[in-house]
Amino acid sequence: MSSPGNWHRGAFVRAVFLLSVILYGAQLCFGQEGQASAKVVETDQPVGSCDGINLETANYKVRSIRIDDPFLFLPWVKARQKRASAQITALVQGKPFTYADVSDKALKIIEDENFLPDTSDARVKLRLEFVSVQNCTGGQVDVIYRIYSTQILPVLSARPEERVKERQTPQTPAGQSTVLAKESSPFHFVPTGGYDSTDLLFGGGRFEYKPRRIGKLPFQSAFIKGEASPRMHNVSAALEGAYDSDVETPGWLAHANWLINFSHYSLPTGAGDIRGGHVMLHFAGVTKPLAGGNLNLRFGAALDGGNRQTEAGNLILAPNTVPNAGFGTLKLYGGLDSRFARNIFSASYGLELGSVGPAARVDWRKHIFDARHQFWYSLGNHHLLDLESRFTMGKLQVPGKVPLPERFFGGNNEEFLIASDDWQIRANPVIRAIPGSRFFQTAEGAGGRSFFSYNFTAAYGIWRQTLVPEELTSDDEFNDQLQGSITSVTSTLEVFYYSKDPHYANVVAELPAAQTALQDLQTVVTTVQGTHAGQVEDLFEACTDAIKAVSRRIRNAISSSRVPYGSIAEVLSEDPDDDQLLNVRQACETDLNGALKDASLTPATSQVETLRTQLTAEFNKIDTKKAEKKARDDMAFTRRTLNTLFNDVNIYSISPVFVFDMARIGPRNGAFGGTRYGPGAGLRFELATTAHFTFGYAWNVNQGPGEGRGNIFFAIGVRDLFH
Amino acid sequence: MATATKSTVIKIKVNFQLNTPNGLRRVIFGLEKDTQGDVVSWAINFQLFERAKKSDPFGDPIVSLDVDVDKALNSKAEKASKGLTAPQAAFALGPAADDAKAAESGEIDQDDAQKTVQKTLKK
Repeated sequence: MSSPGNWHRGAFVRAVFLLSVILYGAQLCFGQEGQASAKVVETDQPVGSCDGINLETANYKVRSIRIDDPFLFLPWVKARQKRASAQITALVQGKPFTYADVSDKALKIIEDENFLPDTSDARVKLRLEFVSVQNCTGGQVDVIYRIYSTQILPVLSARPEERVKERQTPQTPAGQSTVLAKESSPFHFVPTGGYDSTDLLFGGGRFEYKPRRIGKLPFQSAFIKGEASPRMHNVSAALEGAYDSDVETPGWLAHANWLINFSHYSLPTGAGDIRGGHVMLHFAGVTKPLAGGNLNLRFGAALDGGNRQTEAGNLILAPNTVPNAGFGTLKLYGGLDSRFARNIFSASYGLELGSVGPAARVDWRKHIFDARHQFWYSLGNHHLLDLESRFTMGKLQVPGKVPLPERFFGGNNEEFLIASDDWQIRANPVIRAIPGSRFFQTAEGAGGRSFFSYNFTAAYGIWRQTLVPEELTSDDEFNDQLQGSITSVTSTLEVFYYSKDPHYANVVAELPAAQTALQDLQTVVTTVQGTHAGQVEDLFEACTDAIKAVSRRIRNAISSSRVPYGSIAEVLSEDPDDDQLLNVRQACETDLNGALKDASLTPATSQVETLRTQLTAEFNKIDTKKAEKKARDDMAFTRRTLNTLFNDVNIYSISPVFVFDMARIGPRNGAFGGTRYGPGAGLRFELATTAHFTFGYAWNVNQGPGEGRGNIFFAIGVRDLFH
Repeated sequence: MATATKSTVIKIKVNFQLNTPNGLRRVIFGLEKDTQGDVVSWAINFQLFERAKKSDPFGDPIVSLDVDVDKALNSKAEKASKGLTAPQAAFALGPAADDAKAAESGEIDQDDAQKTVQKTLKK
């Protein structure tokens, strides 16, 4: 029989072997031809440069074509790229270069393939397409088509959970993994794994089925996730539903989600396991950005019921603590998130009210505060310095009794207050230097009554490959146009906020009167034309055309259920090229009646002019500055996220990591309870196409009984195998 | 050994997606910049999508117009490629979309609709 020491060595060897396999796989990946991030080498002498050459008149032929998309590793993108490549190759390769074929027709083929289908959630879409040429040598040229498309969650991108995904799986925040495309599977499976010396080597994953809807139920996805080793397990299964508000949709709620979840866990403490199983109903919402676009609020509630158990071992029960019990809890929580150019800050507070057995009383109260800060800065080109801090504290008050597993058990194992992946409120003291859940012994027995923990991780990307080629990220035109996409959406929002101004409503209310006045004018003009038959026919035609044009705009504005701001602005414009009411005055009163001097026309033209003056005065009172600010605030997170995705995100990076943890549980007496410190170091490897992992060792500087001198921590997540 | 030269961009297309607040109308305002040697030209690819209910997919565009931008408006096209202003977005979703639809139904000429779409740049 192997000793625990041998087992640990074996696990360590397996972990190193796994690491080697991944690194080898990564090398193969980097070697693949056609990656969007392939570097373009700029030579000192531009031999073969295509600058300033009209390739069509210079009789060049197309040597080769290539379509680049940063997300080619996704099967649905790859399938489209292959189809488009085949068609474009047949169209242009080996043939004389023509701009019509190489630029226009080929790009049409790419657009028809639609490299940016809608997603199952509401996002702001951006798409940039480039056709480039290079290697103009020997009468031949290589053509590259580059597609940069992304779709961003307008509010949820401010969450720290999302920033982690930006690093590990940029395809997810870029909206490429939830597209509604037939090549995109509704099934997702993300294997995960890890090691620590108490949990031992564990594996698992997250399997999700995400059709657009599950029958007639208010759920869009079903998932099972978990991890297990010979010593521990933590699994849950859930049905989840969500609502997303479009950025242009009125209202304060940006996102809501709800789930029914069943969880079961067993975590080793080194002196016996703590276990639990429960069913949870959870609802949470997120507001649209507040405070000048700098923060949004989250809120939620959960009802939870099940049992908590303790495996017989050497665990000493604290007062008012029961080892096994059925329980019920009500959890209420709230928080705020904020995202700036290079920082994300989040703070959450949760209150848990629990009872032993099915009773309407409070046997214990748990207060949890969890704050996270993430900072990233590019030192050099895309060499990111990432600093992550997390501070968590909790307090347990027990007026009745509490099941032992509800007390605070710390260590490398993380426990969360709620089951949602979208909002992770950590609920125990985490210290990577202590394996499993071994940090629990206090002056009054097993499990803390209070705790705090602080975790700091610093990583610096030494080796990396950028998601978007560096020649583009440093190109002003590319960056301007990227910003332009967000600017355009912001402008649409701005128009929407114009429509919320009371003066705008007054204008809209007067549109039927303006339409009637124009109809009356047309009637009078027709009558007058009969009286002056054969006279100034061109002026009559001009007057009638002006009335028709404006009437059509007003009719569209009145009949439309959307915001008709553009039509109204056109009608009230002072630009003679527009279909505006001023043209009616010019054509019908100044020109036509100026020639006819017919008194019967004047009252009708005056009525139109009076209404025009009133409408214009009201229209000009719309507070456009306020609307502009509101729209800008709404889009602040989206713009900041876009900048990160295009300017800071790497397709792979390898970073040395420094960690420092500090955790305390109480009450303390001597070596029981108190504060532990855990400095450590390791390596972080993030490859969007394959996997991400962190591997390291942290020392438990002032260890307590049974905690160990330190811990090897290793966690791996593999890319979605169905995508 | 042949070395790759820096690439030369001969076409850039930026697509601005504009949605109405009721979610029933969408305009894709595509701006294309073509460079042939030293000659630069601009074009607009205007697509209008409509749907009866917000829960329906938009499907294919009900109107798609390609407009060659007047050379005199090149500088305005260049500016618009860095983002449409609020009046431009309102015009694209309102009069430009209305006229594109009217041209499709034969109410106005295709040329007039193209002129209206191009007028977006002047807003």
